Amino acid sequence: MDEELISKKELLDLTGISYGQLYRWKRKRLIPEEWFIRKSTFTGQETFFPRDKILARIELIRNMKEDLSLDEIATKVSPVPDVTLRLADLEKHHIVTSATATWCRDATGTEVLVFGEALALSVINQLIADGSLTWPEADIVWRTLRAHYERFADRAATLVFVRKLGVSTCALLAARQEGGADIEFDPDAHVVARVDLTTAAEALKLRVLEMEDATR
Amino acid sequence: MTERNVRLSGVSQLAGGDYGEVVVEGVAHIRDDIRCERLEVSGKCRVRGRVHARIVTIEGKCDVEGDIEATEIRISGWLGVVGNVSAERLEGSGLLRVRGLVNAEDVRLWGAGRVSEIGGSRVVIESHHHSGWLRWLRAFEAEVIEGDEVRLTGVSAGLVRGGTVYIGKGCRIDRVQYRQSLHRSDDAVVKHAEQA
Repeated sequence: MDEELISKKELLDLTGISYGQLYRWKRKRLIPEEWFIRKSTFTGQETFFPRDKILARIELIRNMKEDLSLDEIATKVSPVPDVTLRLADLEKHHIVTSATATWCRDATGTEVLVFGEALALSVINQLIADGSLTWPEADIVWRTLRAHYERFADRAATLVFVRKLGVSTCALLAARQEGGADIEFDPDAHVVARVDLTTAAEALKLRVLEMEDATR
Repeated sequence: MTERNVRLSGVSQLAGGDYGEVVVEGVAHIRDDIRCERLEVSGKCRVRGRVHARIVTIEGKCDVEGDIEATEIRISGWLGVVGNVSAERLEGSGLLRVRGLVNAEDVRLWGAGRVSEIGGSRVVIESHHHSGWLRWLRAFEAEVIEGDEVRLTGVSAGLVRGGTVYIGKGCRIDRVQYRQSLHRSDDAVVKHAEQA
């Protein structure tokens, strides 16, 4: 996973934010620690950031800053935002399809979801849509993410779904650094899907924020 | 907070956890992460974990093996930190040694120290290493100092970056990058300066 990087100096020039703002946002954990990537250059140490992620995040902070305090933003962008979401709202704002929502009602009986559960549902939604998952298998993804997502949330985590001879299972893996970990299975096992959870979680956060904006 | 207040005098140990006010007068050993309203050290203290407090005052000597996160940190003694320091306000005349990053809105230091990186809005460091009992120590040294307003006296640094930068007497800086303006004393050594 080679991401395009941007140096701190370039970032400040491009966005017009100040050193003080960048450090303040880091202190408040609006920008995760692991996005600060230290590298040696010919002028000494320089800090780099994953370009797309940091630009999106700064844009997001700026938009939210108009009516939220930094501490309020911090709770929203944290790896596990402290929110409860209604299934009906997710359905209404097309974050999940009505088929996924129906499955959730039937299989789990929950109507109000915490962030990890909403993420599980959006991953299921995506995997069903691209045909890698069947409905009976959705439960495996749901239970895995629900039980373990919070522990993996602050790292670059990937969900891997494997099927071998008609038996399916799924695993969560995470590295301590950006870039994710690697995993291999025996040759007969078929890796049906890999989902980058960090990206999926970021995407879901954005959609949830949009949803809150729309209902405000 | 309604947590316990503790006063440690003599030689003592404290488990980590949540406290109200923690005052160290003797020699204390805090065995794990500690979270408190105030940490006051006038004796000698070693923390084998992280410190999370609203106000930290160091008049004696304190070594922290993890990070410190506080609203306000005042140092007139000796503070050594293996991890990072994060605060809204960091000020003092003591000795500061930090292996990681010092991230504070407002930094005002007039003691000696060695820090790998300092960043914030306003960074003012005036080190006068030739006076008092600290004279055997070297001046203030840092690898990188960044801030919107940076004012340095008697500081040695590899890289200084900021909006408005003042390099006062006794400074030795390898490289300065400034955005708005650079003021530089005749007495300072700046190897390379550029507007960027």
